[in-house]
Amino acid sequence: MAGRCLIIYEQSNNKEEALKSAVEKINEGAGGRVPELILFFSSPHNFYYHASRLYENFPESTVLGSSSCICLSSCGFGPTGLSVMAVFDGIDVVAGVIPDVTRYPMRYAKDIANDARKVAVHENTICLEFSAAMLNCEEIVLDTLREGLKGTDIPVFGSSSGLDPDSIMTYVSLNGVVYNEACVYALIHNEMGQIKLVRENMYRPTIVSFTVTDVDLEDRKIYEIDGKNAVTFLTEKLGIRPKALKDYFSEHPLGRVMDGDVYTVSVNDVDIKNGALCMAAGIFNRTKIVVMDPRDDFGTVWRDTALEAVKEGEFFPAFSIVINCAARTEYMIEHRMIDEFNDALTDNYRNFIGCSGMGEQMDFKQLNHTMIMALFE
Amino acid sequence: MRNYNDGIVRTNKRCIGCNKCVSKCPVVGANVSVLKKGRPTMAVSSDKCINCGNCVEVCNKQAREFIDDTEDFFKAVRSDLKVSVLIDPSFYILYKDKANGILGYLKESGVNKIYDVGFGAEIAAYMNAQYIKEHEDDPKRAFILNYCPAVVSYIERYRPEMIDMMIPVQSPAISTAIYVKKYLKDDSALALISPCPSKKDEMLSTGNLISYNVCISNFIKELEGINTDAYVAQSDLPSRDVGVLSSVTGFFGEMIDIYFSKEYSSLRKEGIDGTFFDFVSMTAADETPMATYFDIISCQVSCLMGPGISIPMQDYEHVNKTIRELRKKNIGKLGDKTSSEEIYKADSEIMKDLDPADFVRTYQSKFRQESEVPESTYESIFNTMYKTTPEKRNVDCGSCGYSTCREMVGAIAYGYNRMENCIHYMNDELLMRYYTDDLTKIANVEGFKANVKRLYDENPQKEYVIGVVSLNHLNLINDLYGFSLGDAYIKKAAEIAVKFTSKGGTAGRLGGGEFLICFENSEEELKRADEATTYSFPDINVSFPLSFRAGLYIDRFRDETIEAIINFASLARDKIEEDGVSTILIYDDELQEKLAAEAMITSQMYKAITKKEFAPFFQPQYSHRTGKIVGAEMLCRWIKKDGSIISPGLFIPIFEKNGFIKTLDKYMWEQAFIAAQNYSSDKYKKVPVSVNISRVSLDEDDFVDTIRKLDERYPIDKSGLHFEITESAYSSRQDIVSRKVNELRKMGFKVAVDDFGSGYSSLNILKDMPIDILKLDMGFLRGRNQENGEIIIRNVVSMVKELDLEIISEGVENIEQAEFLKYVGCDTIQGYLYARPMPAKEYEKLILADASDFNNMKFENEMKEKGVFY
Repeated sequence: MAGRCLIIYEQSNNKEEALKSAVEKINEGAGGRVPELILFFSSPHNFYYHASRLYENFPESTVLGSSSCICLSSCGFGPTGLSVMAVFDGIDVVAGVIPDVTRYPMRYAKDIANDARKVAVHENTICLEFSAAMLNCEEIVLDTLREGLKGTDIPVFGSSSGLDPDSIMTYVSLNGVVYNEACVYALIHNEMGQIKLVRENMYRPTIVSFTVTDVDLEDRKIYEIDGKNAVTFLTEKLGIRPKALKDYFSEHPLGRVMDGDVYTVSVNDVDIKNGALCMAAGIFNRTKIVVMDPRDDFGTVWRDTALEAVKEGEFFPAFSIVINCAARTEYMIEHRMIDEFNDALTDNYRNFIGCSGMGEQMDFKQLNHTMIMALFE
Repeated sequence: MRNYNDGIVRTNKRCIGCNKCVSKCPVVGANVSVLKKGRPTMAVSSDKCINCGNCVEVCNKQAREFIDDTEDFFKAVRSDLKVSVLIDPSFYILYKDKANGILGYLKESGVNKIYDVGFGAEIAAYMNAQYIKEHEDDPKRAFILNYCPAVVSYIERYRPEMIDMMIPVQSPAISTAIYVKKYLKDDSALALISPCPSKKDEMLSTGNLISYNVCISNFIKELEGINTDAYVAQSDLPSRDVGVLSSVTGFFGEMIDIYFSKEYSSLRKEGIDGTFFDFVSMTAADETPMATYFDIISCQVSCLMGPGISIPMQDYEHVNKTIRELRKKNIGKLGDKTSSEEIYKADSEIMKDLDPADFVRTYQSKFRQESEVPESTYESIFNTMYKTTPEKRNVDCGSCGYSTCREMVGAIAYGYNRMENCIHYMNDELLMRYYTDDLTKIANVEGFKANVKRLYDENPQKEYVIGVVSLNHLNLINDLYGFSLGDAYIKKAAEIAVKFTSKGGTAGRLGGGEFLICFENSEEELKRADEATTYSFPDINVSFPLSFRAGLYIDRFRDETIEAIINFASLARDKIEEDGVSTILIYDDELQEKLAAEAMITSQMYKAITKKEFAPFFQPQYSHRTGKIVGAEMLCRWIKKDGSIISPGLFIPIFEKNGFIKTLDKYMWEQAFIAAQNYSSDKYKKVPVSVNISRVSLDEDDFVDTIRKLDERYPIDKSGLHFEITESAYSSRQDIVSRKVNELRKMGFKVAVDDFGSGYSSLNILKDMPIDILKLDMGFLRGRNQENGEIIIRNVVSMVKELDLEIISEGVENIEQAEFLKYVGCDTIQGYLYARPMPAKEYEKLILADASDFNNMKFENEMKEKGVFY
């Protein structure tokens, strides 16, 4: 019988084979217990199958999942297959769905508030959420969650779902139902101790900073910087041709200066025709932006973060959830760092599961190029 | 730039950005402030605009306009396309007497059929009543009539929670179109003559049953010049009774009211007011809503004053009269049916052949939840706009068009507006710019003075130090790294200045790389200043560490103005050489005296020229071989009228610094020409006079011209005047110097290189420069390694002779030097050992032809006594 938590990674891209093996392992590890929560990540291709069948097999559990561009776990990692975390005891889970995320999720804030009331204790509770990606919906989903969780002090921790290069759509699911325009969430109370949230940034702000002066918040576009056409401004400021800007920003993301902190945001594309930057998060007008440089410890920062998070043996996570931005994952794969990254997390957290998507959510903010972790004591 | 002005309502070039449209607009974000060629204008975002036309009405610059299909309609009619026309009831009310003539003209022009929208209004009113009756038992339900397209657009875009309240029945115009198409089988393209630009929106949302929205104002304009009275026609489908009034305020609601007993209530509202919609939304959720149905239209005084109508206000008198007449006439048509049930029953009979499903309207939520502006963003924008106090954040003057400052800041955050549209921000910005340095955002001179004054006022007991600090090597950094990094360097320096003065002091930027600092006069602070050395900024990739020159003034008595103190500190700073080391100089008594002398020289130099206080002195040059005078160097002496003499060692460096040396040079050259001319007479021995050209004058573009003009003015034998140029002047810009020297030589003057050996001499001068005479300084014989010096002089003399140059040794002060020079073969000697510089009169005696023997004998005797000559 497994302990409190069981992590499974099935590398096979054969969806039936991967699911069958995972179900067998959960049943074996359960030892007669019903998992309180089953969290899973898989590629968009196999997602529907895995979501529906996992719930069929564990109808009494809360089964929450998201498509991901890679499955990370303490049992291995890979772009294919299925990763599952089954938590058998020590948590209290209430889950829900926010539909209509592209237009009016706020309509469902009351449902979230109702769910929050069902969680007996708000201390040591987080709202784990996964939103379908590429819909520019994360900010309004976060607003909705903030409204629904108002007065509870429950923090939000989550990810936009991910996809592999062959897919065009991302998915999330709750209890066997798959959505491509929704956010699924689970309010998880840890009965056994604290939940620690960690944010890691691989980039440091440079002195190159500016203020955005014309934006389209809904389309996440920056049209003007310091009163000038954004592309013209940046080509002059950075001394880079317009066509080279996109590549530049893939290694030098931007940072939003907010609340005395810097939050990384990716530049998805450069709209040369309209002189605009297409961002992976909504940027409010008059936001101060800094160009980010890779940190000096770029290739090893995660080991330090992992150590810092557990305070070198003072904090013992029973299980952890890691969300690593798809842009970071892509970079790590390209630079052959992904093994070291997964190993560093495994060494420090033992039981962890991770996904990689199109954005990270923490502190009610949409982030990019960032890793966030939730460590459950 | 995003795309704007691509919907029904648009901004034209007349916009001056006055914000009236913003203040009248019922939604946030439909008006977007954009800069067009630097000029602020309010563009229309079609995604947000509900086409209510409020902005069209309010704009007294006629900068807002709407587009309709008038032009296309007439084109279609005139091209024989089959077109039928729907006439809004407002047309009959507004153009009562002319209406039939206009209809006649339309028919004559080719319009197929003419239908009254009043007819469709009667259908729509009945269908609405039917729907309400069928759904009156729905729990928690109130109804909103579909009448005004702007209201529908508002609800679809901004009130998604109210969509379920909308009665799913088509509007009167669309109901008419449906009836015409389906029941009358008219397959013509339909045009609607209406008072409302927003009807186009409705047409697009309901399957384009109507092809042309022709606004009455444009329609009438198109008819200008046509005598429509010559035509006459009637509607092919007139309204049955009350429909003719359906465009009058609240009358569409009344048309529905007549189907209901008095226990039902309806509520009418003109204008789109968010608060009213909140109220409707709220009451709809009550067990017993305040009204069974709500009749809301956008225009303030019904469709009769819609934005698509432009008739003068005075004409409304007849409009009101027409309404009264029509009301009397048509209400009467309801006959003796006194109860609502009877009327409903009778109309149900009339409408029995109509299928209600044909008249169903569906609504679509076009709402998109906006991200909430975080408080930190509000805070940041408020602060950027200098709205740092609750009072400033709640000015709520409305001049920006928004009701509150917070609403305006929200609009800025969303990108709908610009800070520059807030008049209070602009006022504060002007003040701030007056007091703030644009680059570094720290105080400028005015700001610094104001801050110092505040410090002084707040701390009357304290003494302060005020300093002027200049960055070293800024020009070099700008040259090497560009102005962008130079600016970054300056910003870093500003940060240091601010940090340095953060303990109860203040800092400002004077301009360029110059900063002002003020800090308390204490041992600790002065020590901190003294310990400040260099700073590095690896993050801006400038390899030069920051060093500075600082002049400080300790203000002990507060008896000088701040401007004067800045001046004193600046003078002290100017006394420091720029050498890459951070240096501080305090303005004290000694410096003050030195500076006072400098100031005196500067203040008197111009007068001295006019008063001829600069006197030419001559230092003779002698031949060793003959012991006779062979020439003289003309030197300048400043002898004031009171007889006091100012040393050239004092005034020359000052003149070189302030540029006056150029004036003095020209003066002395003229004196030299005059002297050469005077001494060319037979009265005098023919010996040349040489005069100096300073490095500063040599750099002047008109230098050669000046000499040429003097030569023309004072024609002389060129052998009587030589020019001396210091060795250091040759070391830079050799090509230019060579060219100028050659020009002099071409004129026939000999040119000497002066002070060879006084600095770090280069033999290249001998090789490259076009000279005639080398004036050898005795520097080689001073200091250490005199033996080496002698070897060098011996070889230089030998080389010079081989190069066929003349050589003059200058600065010869003792017999040993003279002996040595004689030994190595140097022909001509100048120096204190032989003669000091002397006034012209004394010199003239030396060169008098008939007195020369005596003088020379006297001189030779003196020399013999000194052991120079044998």
